[in-house]
Amino acid sequence: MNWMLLIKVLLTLTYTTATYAQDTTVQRLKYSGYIKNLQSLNYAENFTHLTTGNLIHNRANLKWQPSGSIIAVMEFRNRLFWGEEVALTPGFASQLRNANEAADLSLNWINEEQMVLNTTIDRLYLLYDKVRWNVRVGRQRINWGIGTIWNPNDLFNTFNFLDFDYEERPGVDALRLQYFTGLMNHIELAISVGDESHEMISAAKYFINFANYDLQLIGGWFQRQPTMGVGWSGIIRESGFKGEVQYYFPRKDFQELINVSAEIDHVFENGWYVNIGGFFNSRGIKEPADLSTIATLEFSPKNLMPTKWNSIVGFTKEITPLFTGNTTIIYSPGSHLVMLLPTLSYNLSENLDFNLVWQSFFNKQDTGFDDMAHRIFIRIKWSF
Amino acid sequence: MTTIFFILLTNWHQHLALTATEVVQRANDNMRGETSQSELIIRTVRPTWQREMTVKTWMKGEKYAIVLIKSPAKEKGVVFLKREKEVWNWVPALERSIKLPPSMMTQSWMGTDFTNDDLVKESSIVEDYIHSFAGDTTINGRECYTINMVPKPEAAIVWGKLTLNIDKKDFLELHTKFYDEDGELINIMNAYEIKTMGGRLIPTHIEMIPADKPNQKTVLIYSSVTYNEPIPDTFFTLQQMKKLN
Repeated sequence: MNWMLLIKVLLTLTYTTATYAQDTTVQRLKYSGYIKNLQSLNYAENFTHLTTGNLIHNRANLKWQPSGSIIAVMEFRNRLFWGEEVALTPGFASQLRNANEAADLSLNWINEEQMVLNTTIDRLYLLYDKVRWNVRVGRQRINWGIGTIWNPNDLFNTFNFLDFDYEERPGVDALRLQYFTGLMNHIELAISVGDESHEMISAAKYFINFANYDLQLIGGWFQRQPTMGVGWSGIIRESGFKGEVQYYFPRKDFQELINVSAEIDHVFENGWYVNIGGFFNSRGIKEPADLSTIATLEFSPKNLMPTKWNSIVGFTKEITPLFTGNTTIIYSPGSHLVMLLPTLSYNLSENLDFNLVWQSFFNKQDTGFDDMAHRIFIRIKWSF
Repeated sequence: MTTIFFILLTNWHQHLALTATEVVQRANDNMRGETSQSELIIRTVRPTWQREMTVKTWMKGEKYAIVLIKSPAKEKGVVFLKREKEVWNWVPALERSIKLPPSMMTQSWMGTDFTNDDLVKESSIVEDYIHSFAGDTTINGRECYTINMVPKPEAAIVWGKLTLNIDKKDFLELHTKFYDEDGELINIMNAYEIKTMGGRLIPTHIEMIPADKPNQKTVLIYSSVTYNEPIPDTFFTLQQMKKLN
């Protein structure tokens, strides 16, 4: 593989530059990352059947700055999956590649019945940066989202918000140009190379900061469908107020669609952080959904949630500076879907963190609310 | 000779003529400057553990500030940007800037005994308070003014009253007590290890101790400070915030 050679070259550079960097003030090559172990327990309805899985996950971020205006970035993740989950999921290894990335930069080193070792490069770009403009080409994250969970404006990224273990989110193979029209205003143009179906996304964003509000206007084509959007982040008294609206125009092959999200966040004097929001998907389902609808859901910028009306409330409290608790509850009226997502985080030592993440899914049946599934994750993370 | 006497005399007269507000103003100017850049360690101390964080800060007047976290590894590259009344947080791993709600400013900053406001100075100890003299005292052998400060009615400040002790000779804020709106003592600030840094005599250790938890504290330890080196306004932007890593 050509890109393996590239890793070797970059690693050699890390070594030589790290030695060199000791007696210069400019640190030309920087690296960071983490190693995580994630143990998962998946329970079926009523905690009747348990499937376990384990993931050892390493991420490496490399950044090389040969001059003041050029930056090269490569970030990759090595993941070793093993256990029942691998064995019981048909075609487990084939699902690891992110379908919206045009070039295949994913490699399975081991693909056994009970074990899969995969390396994926999810950032690989060059940035040319001048004072008033910059251009970035390659695999990158183009983040146009503003809200916490649902981001209708985030046209270039497909992700599953339940995948808490992938904070960085997948990349997209694209060209992005930013031009700064003022201190706090800019125009951004981006074109992504299509996925396997060769459908590209091209859009422009105008960002302005006005009267304590960040405002953005978005227009472009999502695959072959024209789309327009607006997003904001501002203040109502002492609270934050954010939202995003994205409208997809009807075309012969495509149906009209509007996605709207809005949220308010506030920190109370006793330290509780509370976040209340809603999300509307005009083509979402209104009827009670079964588990298979949710489980087989294909998340995309157009389909951020399968259900039409959705509400979210989140509470976070720092119990001690080392120990934080959070609970998020998502309720979708109409389809009567409930997700209960509590998490606990504990900082064991400077670079070592422990997380307990719980995900429970319920829906309303004729007999009342029933649990559909429960997932428990135990994670240890060492950052470097 | 006469000139020296004249200077001494006028200085003495100036001191006499200083109002409480002017003393606070001078102490504030002493630590801030038109612009300042600093590197410091933030040490959070608790009975059973302690953690350290290193940060770099850039400030321009009271309008603009940037705080960049350099360690620990997990938070490395995280940036806080303040422009007038707005504050953003840049998280490089997510490639996302998050605007913070104003109510977050009065909360503990990243688990320390300092609030967000203490770090980026949203409120002004000069503009947002009414100051009055409340006597004299001596701290570590230095003669100090004791000054009471109460927030102006329109200022959005959590404190009910502050009592500052400011060194008479060098205008250094050496000891401050923070009271809530019910007059209860909440925090105690001590400043010590007075050294010349960035061409000025300043306390290089500043500690904040919660009054009800005397065995815990947060200490800011300055390793370098530069004052009044011009920083353009273009530095305090979302664009720049993303480039600091």
